[in-house]
Amino acid sequence: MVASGRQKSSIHAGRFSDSAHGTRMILDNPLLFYTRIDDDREWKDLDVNRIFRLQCFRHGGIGRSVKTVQRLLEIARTNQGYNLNPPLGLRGAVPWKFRVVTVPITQDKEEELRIFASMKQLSDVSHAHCPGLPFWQVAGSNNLLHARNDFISLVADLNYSLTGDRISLAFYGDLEVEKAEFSRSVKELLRVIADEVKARGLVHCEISQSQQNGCSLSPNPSRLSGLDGQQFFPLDAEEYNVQYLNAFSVLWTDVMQLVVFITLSPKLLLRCAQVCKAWSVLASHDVLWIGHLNHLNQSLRILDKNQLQASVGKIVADGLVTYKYLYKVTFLEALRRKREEGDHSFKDLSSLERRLRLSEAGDHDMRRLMLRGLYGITNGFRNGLKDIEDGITFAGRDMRMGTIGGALTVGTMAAKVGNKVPIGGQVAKRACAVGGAVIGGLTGALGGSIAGTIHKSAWQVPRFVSGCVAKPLHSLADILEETAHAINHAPEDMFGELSDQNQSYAFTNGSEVGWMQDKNAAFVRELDSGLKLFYAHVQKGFTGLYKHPHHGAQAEGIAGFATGSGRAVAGCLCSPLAGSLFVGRALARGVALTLEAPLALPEAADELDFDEVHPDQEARTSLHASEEPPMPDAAGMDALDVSVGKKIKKLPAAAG
Amino acid sequence: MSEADPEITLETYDKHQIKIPKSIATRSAIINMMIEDTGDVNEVVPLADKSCTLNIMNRVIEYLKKHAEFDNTGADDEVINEFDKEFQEQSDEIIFQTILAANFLDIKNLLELMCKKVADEIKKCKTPDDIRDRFNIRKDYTPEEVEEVKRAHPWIYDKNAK
Repeated sequence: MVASGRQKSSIHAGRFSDSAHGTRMILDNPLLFYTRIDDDREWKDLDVNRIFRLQCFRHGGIGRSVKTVQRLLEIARTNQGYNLNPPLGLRGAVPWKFRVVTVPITQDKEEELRIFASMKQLSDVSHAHCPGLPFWQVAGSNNLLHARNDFISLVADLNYSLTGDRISLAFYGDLEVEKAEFSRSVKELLRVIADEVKARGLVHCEISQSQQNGCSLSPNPSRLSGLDGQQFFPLDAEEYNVQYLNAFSVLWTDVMQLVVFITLSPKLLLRCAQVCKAWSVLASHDVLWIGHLNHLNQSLRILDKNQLQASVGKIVADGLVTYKYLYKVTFLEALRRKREEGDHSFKDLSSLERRLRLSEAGDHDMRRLMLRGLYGITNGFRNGLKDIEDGITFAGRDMRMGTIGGALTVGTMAAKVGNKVPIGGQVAKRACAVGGAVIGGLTGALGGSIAGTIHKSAWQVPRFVSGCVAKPLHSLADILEETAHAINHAPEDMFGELSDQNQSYAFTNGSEVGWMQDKNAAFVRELDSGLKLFYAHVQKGFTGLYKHPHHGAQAEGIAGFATGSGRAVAGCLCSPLAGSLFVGRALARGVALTLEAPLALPEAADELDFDEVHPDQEARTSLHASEEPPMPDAAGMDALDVSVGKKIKKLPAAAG
Repeated sequence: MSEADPEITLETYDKHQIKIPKSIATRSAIINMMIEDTGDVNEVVPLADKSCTLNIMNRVIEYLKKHAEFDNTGADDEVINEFDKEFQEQSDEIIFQTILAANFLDIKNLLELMCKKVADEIKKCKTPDDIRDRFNIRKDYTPEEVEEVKRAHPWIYDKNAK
């Protein structure tokens, strides 16, 4: 706790010092700040270092456009700004929990109370005893423009507090047009307020003569350029810096959070949260965890980004839960699923997802479907032919290798034999060796080619079968499926009404997942599903004979009855036909899967396995790269919620 | 001083003046904004932030010049990365001050580069204690809070614990 020892009040780093009242906390951000942290504690009970940290956390200043500030002020003044929710257009631009506070600029307690008499936040500011005018401390904004906008907002708010005159909106309007960050009118307004402050005997305050003359002694030297000259700051500011700021704390909140911590994995974030309270707050911020949660959800195919926002955005914004907590819950759910359902829940299902989406696209353009099927058939044959070509190529290579190998072997043997020939001298020996090599080469080539061809052909047969049979069968199945679908929808299309059935895709989903999970039962599963669908369609066709005319008559009378009868007859004919096609489709796909399953389902290279994720694997190689962060190990998840204190069940395989 | 690329005079926090080409200076969004505000390239641009000392500004300018050269010559990423890596290798004090200056001057690439260095240093630390030691951070947990943390996160203090 530092007392300046001077009678004159001074302001620095959110700290108001005077000899009469000791060191106190300025109600820091004049315009926007997060929910208070220590409501129950007296400011004077806090040590200076903690005050500084609190101030850092609570600032949370972010860039705001003039229009945003303008709207916020308007909202604040009409609603008194107490814990109000920003309108939709401002979400994301401002902290959710914020209050608009006009900083009292008087040391006179009564006058201070009078200024805030009409404000709901009176109880908050009155006990803070926060006289002073922290001009320089406008916000922790991201850039100079925003800082100045914040400052302008502050000035306007102060002006309103002093005079009750809402000149700010017109003032903003001018600024919006001019795009000048320090317009002449702003300076004039500043000067008026400064004079007012001086006249009231407040803190020492001078308006800078230069627009770039910043707050050089600011302990939070972000790019908030200054609004005041150096003479505004107390002489002990430098001392304050030296005494209370260690080297690391000069990295202020937004840099630490948005540039440093955002590159860390969940595991490292949890580790950082254990370092000190300041880092604990920084590492727990939603802006860091929402990315990890999105990645986790996408990895597990639980929710995509938009779905996540739609489902939990509101409750997170309302402060009921945090993204960090949701991450923990999601991760634990993933672990539970892994224990209960096995590894298949963690397979990379992207290809399956694409197929399902393709199937669910609901496109009934027969021509396009036929083309797609024909393309599939062509592609299948092409792949099959390519496999054959590969086989021949390999066989040719083997033949060559066989030739060389055979020639070498037989030539060596012939040379040895030639060396042992007792007659004929060197010429005969060489001739014998060459002849042996030729004979050996031919023999080796023949043997090698036969063996290579047989081997490679045998190797390529399954691929050929897969390419030439399974893939066309898949395509045929697709054609049958889409044709069945189109026929199934024909009555509805014909009579101008969309179908209300969608069970066929439940079949697709179920059967596809089954295909992934249990390859050996693919055929049975397909056939079973096809027969079920056939039964469902036949049943639907016949029940439609009663249902459609009845509903039509109820809705539109005789005309509806006629239309419903037409639909019923058409449906009675089409639905069984569609069902039979589904059976054919199921048969074709079942056969195709049976053929293809052993060959076409390699282990996914990018398969996600929680236990294999290295705990120290870092999230992103570059700060703005799009790589998604890895997930922490199971043990690391325990640190997700320090305050909960619950024991989280750990997996045996969890990494330490 | 050419007409096309006039020199800008920057006044550092410790009252030194540095002349650099405008094309280099305007790589800082803040300096660019200041120049546009005044409209006079002959006016001295004061850098009021405490981090913008002569030593740090020389480093910042070195970075800006080098990257301008890379841009002009179309240097390979490998060369750029090598320079960046070498540029990162500084003492903590200089790194922090450079981050502050980069943030003040709004030089995004430099800010990210130096912050990446900090992040890398954090990644090297295997425990919270390592991080505290590395960055000289005071542990502000009360004894009760430490006990609570120990109960919640035993593996942090006991490497054998799972």
